[in-house]
Amino acid sequence: MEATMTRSRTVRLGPVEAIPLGEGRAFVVDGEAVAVFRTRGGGLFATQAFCPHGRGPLADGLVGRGTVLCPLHAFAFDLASGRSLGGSCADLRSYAVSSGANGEIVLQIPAARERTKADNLRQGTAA
Amino acid sequence: MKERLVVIGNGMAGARLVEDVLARGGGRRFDVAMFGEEPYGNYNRILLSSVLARSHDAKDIFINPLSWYEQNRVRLHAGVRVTAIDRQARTITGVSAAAEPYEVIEHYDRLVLATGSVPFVPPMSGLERAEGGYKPGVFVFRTLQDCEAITAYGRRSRVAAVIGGGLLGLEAARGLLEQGLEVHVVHLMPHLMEVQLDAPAGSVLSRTLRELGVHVHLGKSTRAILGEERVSGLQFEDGGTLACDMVVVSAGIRPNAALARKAGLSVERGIVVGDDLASPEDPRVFAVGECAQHRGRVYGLVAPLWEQTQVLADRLTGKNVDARYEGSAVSTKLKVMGVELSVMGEKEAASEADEVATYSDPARGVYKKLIVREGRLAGAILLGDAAVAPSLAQMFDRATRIPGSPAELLFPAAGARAAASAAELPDDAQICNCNGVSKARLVDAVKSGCRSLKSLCDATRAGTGCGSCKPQVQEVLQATAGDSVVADPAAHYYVRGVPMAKPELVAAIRERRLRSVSAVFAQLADGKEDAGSKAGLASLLRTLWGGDYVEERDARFINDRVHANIQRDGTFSVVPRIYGGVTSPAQLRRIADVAEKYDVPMLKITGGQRIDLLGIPKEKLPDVWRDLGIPSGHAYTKASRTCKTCVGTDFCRYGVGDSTALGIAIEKRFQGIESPHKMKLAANGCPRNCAEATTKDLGAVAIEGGRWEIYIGGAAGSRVRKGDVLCVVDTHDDVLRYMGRFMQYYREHAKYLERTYDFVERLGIEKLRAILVDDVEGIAERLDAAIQAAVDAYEDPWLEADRPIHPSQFRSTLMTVEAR
Amino acid sequence: MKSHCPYCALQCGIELEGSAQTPALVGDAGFPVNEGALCIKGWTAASLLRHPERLTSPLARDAGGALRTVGWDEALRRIVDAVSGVQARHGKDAVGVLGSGALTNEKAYLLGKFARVALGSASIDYNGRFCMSSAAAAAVRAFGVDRGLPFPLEDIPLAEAILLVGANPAETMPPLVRYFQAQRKAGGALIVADPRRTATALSDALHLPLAPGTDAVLANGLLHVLVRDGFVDEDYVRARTEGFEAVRALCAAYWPERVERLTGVPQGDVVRAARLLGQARTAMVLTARGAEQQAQGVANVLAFVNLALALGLPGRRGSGFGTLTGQGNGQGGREHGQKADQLPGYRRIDDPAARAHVARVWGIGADELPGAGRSAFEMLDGIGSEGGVKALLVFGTNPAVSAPHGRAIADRLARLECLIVSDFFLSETASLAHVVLPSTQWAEEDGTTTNLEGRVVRRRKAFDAPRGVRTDLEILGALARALGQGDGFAFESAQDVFEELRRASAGGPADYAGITYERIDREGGVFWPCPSQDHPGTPRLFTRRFPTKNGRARFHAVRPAGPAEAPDADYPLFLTTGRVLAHYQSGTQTRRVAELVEREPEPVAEIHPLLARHHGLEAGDTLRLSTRRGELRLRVKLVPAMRQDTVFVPFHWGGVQSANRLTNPALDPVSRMPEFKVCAARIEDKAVSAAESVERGVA
Repeated sequence: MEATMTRSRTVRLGPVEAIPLGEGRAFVVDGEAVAVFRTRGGGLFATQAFCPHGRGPLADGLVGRGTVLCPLHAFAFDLASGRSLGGSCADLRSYAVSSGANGEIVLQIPAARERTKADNLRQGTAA
Repeated sequence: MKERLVVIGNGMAGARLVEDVLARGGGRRFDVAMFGEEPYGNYNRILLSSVLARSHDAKDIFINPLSWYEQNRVRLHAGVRVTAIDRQARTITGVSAAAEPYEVIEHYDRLVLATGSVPFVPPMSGLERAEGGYKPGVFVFRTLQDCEAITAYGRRSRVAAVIGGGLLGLEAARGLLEQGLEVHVVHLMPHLMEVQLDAPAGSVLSRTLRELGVHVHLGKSTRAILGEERVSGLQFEDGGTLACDMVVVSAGIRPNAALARKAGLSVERGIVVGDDLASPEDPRVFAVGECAQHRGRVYGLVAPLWEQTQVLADRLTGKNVDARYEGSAVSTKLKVMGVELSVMGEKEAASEADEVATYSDPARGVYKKLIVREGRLAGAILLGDAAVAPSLAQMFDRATRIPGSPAELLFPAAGARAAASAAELPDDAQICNCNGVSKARLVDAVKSGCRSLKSLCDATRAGTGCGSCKPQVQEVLQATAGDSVVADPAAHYYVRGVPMAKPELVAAIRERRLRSVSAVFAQLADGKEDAGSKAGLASLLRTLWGGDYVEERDARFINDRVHANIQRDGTFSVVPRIYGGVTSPAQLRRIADVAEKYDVPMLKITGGQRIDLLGIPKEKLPDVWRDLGIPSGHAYTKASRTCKTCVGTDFCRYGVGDSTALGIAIEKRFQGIESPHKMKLAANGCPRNCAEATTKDLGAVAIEGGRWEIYIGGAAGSRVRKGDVLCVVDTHDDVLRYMGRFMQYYREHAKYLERTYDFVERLGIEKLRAILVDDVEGIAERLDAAIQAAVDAYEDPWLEADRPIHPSQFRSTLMTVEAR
Repeated sequence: MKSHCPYCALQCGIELEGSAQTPALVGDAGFPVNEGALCIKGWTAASLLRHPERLTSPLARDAGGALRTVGWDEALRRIVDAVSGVQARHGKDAVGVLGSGALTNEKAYLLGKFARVALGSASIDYNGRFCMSSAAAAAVRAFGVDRGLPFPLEDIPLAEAILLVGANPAETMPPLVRYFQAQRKAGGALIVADPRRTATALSDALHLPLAPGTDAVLANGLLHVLVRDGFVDEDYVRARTEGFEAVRALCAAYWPERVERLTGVPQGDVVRAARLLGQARTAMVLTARGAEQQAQGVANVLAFVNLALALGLPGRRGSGFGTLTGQGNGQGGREHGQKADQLPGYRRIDDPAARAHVARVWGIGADELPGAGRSAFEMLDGIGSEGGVKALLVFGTNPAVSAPHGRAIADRLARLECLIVSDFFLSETASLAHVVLPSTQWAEEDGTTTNLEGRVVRRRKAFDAPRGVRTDLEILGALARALGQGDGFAFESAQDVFEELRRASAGGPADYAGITYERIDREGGVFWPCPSQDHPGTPRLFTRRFPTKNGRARFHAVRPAGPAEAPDADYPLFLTTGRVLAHYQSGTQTRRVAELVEREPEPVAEIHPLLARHHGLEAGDTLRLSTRRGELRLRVKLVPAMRQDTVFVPFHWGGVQSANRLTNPALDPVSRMPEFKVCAARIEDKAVSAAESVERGVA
């Protein structure tokens, strides 16, 4: 599946301020649901929008020290790598994201056709 | 050409025999025909008394429905009475009981008589009507039809007499008792069940039955059944009488051997058979069940019958042509609700050589007697003790040599090990079974420095398997290390992310005037914010600072960000405030309109007597609130929830206090008060507890004299706990005061997510009474002021519908970008 | 390095650090099944990696008949000569293969392929016959598929009532007990049906002490009460099952008083248990070897399946019927073709479509595939008789100890023209072999296992094996080449084998097609069936339909027959066998771990104090326990909670200590499962003096 990283395109998702400080919000890009988080430390992170375990909306989760807690069952994930902490849930896909010069959210998203259907399934967009 | 096997009788023995024959592949060898007098398949006669007692449905006692006979190609002549056996021609003739009777003739190569038995009805006058048949109200108890007739007549009766105090009689009596009748058992003998019981057992049994409400008349022989048209009573030989509306005669059974006698087979009490279960006169004819007499004995219990059918089936099918039936040791249980009676074998010792052990405790309805002959159980009477009967019955059935002395067998074997406190256990006692850790090893580990449960478990591996021994490990730790025990530090922190127990944390927050979660992380956790700790801190700060608390919404769990309860599919549930559960047509109409307008997938009455609109998307929350125009019901947050009420004095016949008014007052005052965990409340108008106040976090129960009991720390969740009474007060205001005082103390001292029932148990109700009622610490006033401040600071969060704290507060997906 | 415990079917997650000489082993807190918990067997598992008795070179009989070390080429040559010789003289099927539930999926798969393709023999079966075959056969009959637990362990705490039948997880799989604790903590009820009051039943459970061999009677009795008290889920029965009416009628003959008489369980408790199950909104019925290892094992399981179906449990969250698989890979081991009647993917070998598919994957003609062979016990018992196998290859099992009527089996094995054993120790069976091949241990090889939930997990190679030791996969490859059949066996790695297994299983009931090593790593295990890579796997089966022809589950009317050998005047006691916590199966591994031997140095006979006194025995004495098949001398352990008519003996020891010298080889007509769990025994009156028993120790 790492093939998904080979080709990707850049998407602009509007002003960073649209996301309340310390929270996350979801975006849908090419039918792929992505959660973008804006931490109090000023960092931006992006992961798949739904928890693989119970499809919890991660954008609604509590954020702190680079981790997010799923609002449904409190599984924890590392925002940067998407790694599931504590291991009892599958890992998240994570995306490269940054704030552009004019304070815009800039997301790198793998080209749609490179993604397997499985990835979509895990992200709930194909469900 | 198959052999023709004909079975007369479709009861417990006949049908069972055919089952056994088929189970041994007899279907290939025999063409099977059966005669049954009753118009249906085979039912479990043993359970008739249960049907009478309504513990079984008639339909549930059928072992072989008619379909079974078809599926197994058994030709059943149901409702056909056999009139003749011609042993020369080898034919059976029967007549149907149908409207136009027809004749049935079957030829046989092998004939099995399983004609069972007929009730014995002792001679007495007034039994029959002039035109024949029993007098209305007189019944025998043998068939499903009898059973139905008795039940029907019982509905129109008040008093029933059962003639016969044997096994069947008593089960019938119990059945009638279950139907709500006054029941009298009239027994000829000086004690009940004299066939199975000795005199002492009989008297204990009488006593037990009397306590169940059965009237027992012993040593009474009935001369006449009174009543012109129908039964009106009984008259006894001693001249006494008993008024009753119905009589069930259950004075024993007699083998049904008339046919066999007519056919010239030798019949004594029953149809005589040998160990091959064949008639000595005719090797083609066999008899099994209650109609058969083997070695001079006739059996009336099911177990021997089924032993006979197995032997006969073995012989008929050739599975074992030498199979022999050598008689049965009989044991049985009385099926009378509330009476535990097992009997087996003989009731009296036969000779000096027999060992006999008895134990009797009439007051408790217990009588036990064992007869041991040559190391084996020859007989037993076990009354009022369910524990030892099963194992003894099995020893009896298998005639095994009994271990130990008879006396030892009278009492249940010592059960499982008693859980002694770990402190008292010997050093070599194994504490952790999974990893074989002895107490000694734990003690050593503690002495060599392990001072916390975790370190002790890590060091010894105790509790790292199934984990069930952890409480005991903790005990050993306590006992050994005493005060020097430190639980794992983190366990004492209020939240994981800030290394402080609650008191220090509270002190630090007050002292440094930390009013926001980020401030706390900045100053007390060297800047490291911890996601899992945010909500707990927010709740604490809210408690400490009331109106001065600086809200940071990202520190809140999603429910408190949008003031609704997130559901598994990411949508939310909305519960409008309905004080005390008292609503109005207008309010209901408004809720209904909203539910329709937003086609809410589910509209539900909650456990807290409120109305829940489920499945609302985040984006729609503000509109829904606006259209409702009702304040938030706070069903989503760690705060005071609803106050459940009963109807109270306004309408309820029993109410002694106005629980509705009080409930509304409670809910109004404390709405939205945040706390370490949710607080469920309730107010009862009387001790009947319809609003379940005794199992709420806080509850008020009205008692006589218009006073109120205040319960705290109740639970009715995965764990159930009756609350403790904090105090009893006179007025609604007092209720509000003490409830508020407890709430504030709980808010200040409980760990985050510690429910009141754990909190109250941890501190103990005495301590809480001392502090909150007797005010031994002199903080009552401050607590009252603090809770008042919290109450004053309350504002309906749903007002954010019109002034959101952030433009995207209620947005999930901010933008959708499609591939070009 | 993350891997999984080599012992039971929980397959607890383990993390290995250090070296094979000084291994550091801890529970894997990240693996959901055990969350770091291990029992004493797991904790000590790594101590065998460099055990002094470890085999590091092949052995073969010399002229004098003694086992001597030989080189691999020599060993392989001997095997090839023997095998081709036997097959030339007696036909292909004369060479048999015996596999094991301890083998990884890859090994089990390749072993089946080896027997049928390289050897062209129908004679292959595995030791799961002695373990899971009854539960498996029953599940297939009732549900259309056999997955030990059709739901994940995480569902257990959701059950308001659980009936455990003949299961003692507190000793056999301790970390599992956490789930039952969580279940009770949540207010759930636990009912344990077992002749012994085991450690599992010691807790606050309701214990039903049934007489050995009366399991189905108890089941019918419980169903009787459910019917009587109106607890049957009629809608479910109507919509999702078939065959209930016959069962309903049958149960009318099992009223509580009679059930008490037959089982010895107080009728009050029968009713209480039934009501706990009936009133629960969610409930589970779980069986294990106690009910299954009987000559009517399949019937017993079906009787309890009836209960679950009548209550409408299977396919509902927090509810269901399941069996607690025993061996490490007992689940995967029975899915991929090392069973006599089976092909990969849990396919039937007599199903033409299945034969065609597998033959295609194996690159041979379907007609070249042998048919069904004889079951394990029959294959072993047939040795030396007409048509019996003359040569036998044994992988990862120790039948000289684990088969019933053990002495006879040992004699049979001795009559083989050639016995080849692959093991890492000189087990009782290996010591009888003509050629012994030293194989790798769990921590020295890659592969997958499928745990009792049907969750496919990865064992990872943490350490290099000692020089001279090979993996079973390498051994099979080398043998195939030596037999001139190398083509189908040229695999680079365990993952290669798994890739072929995926294709072979595709479309079968146990479909692994969508499972890859990567996914297992990523998702912490994948539940089969998983037909494609975009399929999420199937933690919960039966939610909508059952994989039967008409989609319905089947009731089976079970008329209990009683044990094949019931106590009588000559042998008045029940003998039942089982496991103790410190040991595993035939003990080949655990009897070499000092810490475990220290705990359980020898088998003991557990009996009731009264029974002991009756025979003049005290704790620590040695008694002589005999059955119609043999006699054992055992130290006496007094257990007040035993039935007074029952003796319990653990089966982890060999030779004169082997409980299976006593057990009855009567087989279940369907599963061919031997009756390990009940036979008639007696205690010989003359106790043995202490002196004798000491010398017995060396015997």
